[in-house]
Amino acid sequence: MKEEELRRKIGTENPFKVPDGYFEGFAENMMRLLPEKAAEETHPKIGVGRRTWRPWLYAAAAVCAVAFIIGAVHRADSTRAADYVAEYTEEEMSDYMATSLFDEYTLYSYLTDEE
Amino acid sequence: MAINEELILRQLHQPATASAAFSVLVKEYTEPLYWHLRRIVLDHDDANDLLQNTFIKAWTNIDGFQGNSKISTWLYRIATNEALTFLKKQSSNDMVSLDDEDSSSLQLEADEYFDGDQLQLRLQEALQTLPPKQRMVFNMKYFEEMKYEDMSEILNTSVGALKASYHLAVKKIASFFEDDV
Repeated sequence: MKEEELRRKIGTENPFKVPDGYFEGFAENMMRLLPEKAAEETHPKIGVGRRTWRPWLYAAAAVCAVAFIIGAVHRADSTRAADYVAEYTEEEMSDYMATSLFDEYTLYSYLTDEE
Repeated sequence: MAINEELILRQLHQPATASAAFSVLVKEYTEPLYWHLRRIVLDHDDANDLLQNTFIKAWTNIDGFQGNSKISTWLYRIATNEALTFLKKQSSNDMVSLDDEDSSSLQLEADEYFDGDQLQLRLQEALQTLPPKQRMVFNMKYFEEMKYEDMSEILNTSVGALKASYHLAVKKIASFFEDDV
């Protein structure tokens, strides 16, 4: 059986249907579904100058962030660890020891800042 | 009336006119793209979802479309990729073979939006025996009467390979019907 025979025997009629009014209302519904492009459209385009210095701005921000983190860590280290735990009672410390992963020597070293 | 592609493309790339131009495209290509998708996935709701996804993808990627092909070809290509991805997902999710003609035949019989006779039902069964891409080739040539050159751009396949694929598809479908006799 060749294509012509197939066409003669089966035809090319479309057996599928759509709900009433489907095509009529589709375009309007579709346009409502489209994501907004307003932000891109209303803002002026970024000029070449701004594009070129933008990476430097990001780099400067990253350097500031790193400097801040290093400063914060340094300040935390400079405060004796013992100050943080001074307010705990011996009983509380004992409970903590029982459930923590530190051994006594590590905890002692930590509290006295001994290595 | 055929749309002026050059004009539409210019309008699509202008923020002030993009939406109106895209609306023209939606109106122009809704029906052909819908039937293209529907013949592949069979179910109306699936075809509707894929059609919406097609237009959303076209809209979000319109800035990257520079008119290297016809707009219709570009839209068909997006729709075709959507459909093939859908069939792949459906196949792996449901663990139902794409070649399972009995299952799709049962679905069609129960589908309120299918009113084909027994012969058309058998044709759909026969089509389900074809691999998805070959089924697509058959549909585009047999029902949509698309040129091989256009199909070649949409499916990214050479004209020669498409002709061979179509010829083979006709042969397979013919033998499906001959087995009935």
